[in-house]
Amino acid sequence: MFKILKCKDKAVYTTKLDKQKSLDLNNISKKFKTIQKTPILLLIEVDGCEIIVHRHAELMFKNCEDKEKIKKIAEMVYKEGI
Amino acid sequence: MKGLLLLSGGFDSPVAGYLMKEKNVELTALHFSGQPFINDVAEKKAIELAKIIGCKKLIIFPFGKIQGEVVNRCRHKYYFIITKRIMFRIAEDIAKKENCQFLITGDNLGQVGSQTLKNIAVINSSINIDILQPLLSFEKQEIIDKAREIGTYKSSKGPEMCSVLGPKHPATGAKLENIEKEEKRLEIDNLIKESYDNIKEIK
Repeated sequence: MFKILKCKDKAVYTTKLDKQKSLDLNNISKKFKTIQKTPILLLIEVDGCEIIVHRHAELMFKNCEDKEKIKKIAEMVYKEGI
Repeated sequence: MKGLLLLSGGFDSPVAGYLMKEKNVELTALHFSGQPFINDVAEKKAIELAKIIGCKKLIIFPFGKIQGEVVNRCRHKYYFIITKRIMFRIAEDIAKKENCQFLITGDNLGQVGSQTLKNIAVINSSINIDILQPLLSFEKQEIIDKAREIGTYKSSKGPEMCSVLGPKHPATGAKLENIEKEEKRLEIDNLIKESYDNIKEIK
């Protein structure tokens, strides 16, 4: 459903859906602790990780290197957003 | 002479600062932090780079909230132009407080889509202080070679989380009247004033 990879600048982990979709940011912001909200992205916090949730369904993990944790969080976010 | 260097974590601005320092300009650096929309890596790189090129002081200005407001209120294609105009206004204000006679930037024509002459003219028109852009006509390779020579290459090269707020297709030939119209949607003075409360200085 999605893949985990390093972002183009190799700085942080990111997840991307296999098929291009838009996320429902409003629904995600209701379900998760939201630090910042803009029309194109959210900054949420889940389990100590800060995550940029882009409307075009890319998640960027600002401070998490644990791929298992990333997978788990991405599944939860995509479940609410798609 | 004193100059205020707009310092990012990348290759260009440290080289621009260094070239001006070679001309006996005393440097104070100003870094605009994009947190919370990015992590703290760029800020750490700016701290390292300011030391390497011998800045007297580094000022870190919290800019993330302002970036968020620009995305919230303005047409997205103008994001880079509007945020840069606001950065320049803040820099002009800080330059006056720091007794700097001009700003120094690492701007370089055509390196990114939004760095066109038209856009640069619109951006520069937001302020009344002189702006020195010593790399404007440099090739990227020349900048990288210079970075190696002056010892900033390694710090600049380190991976850095890119900004996630910019548009995929930024405006390349912006008109000043359109930009000014967009800026009226923002309470720029209030936003800047609020951000000043969290400014950091490193000597």
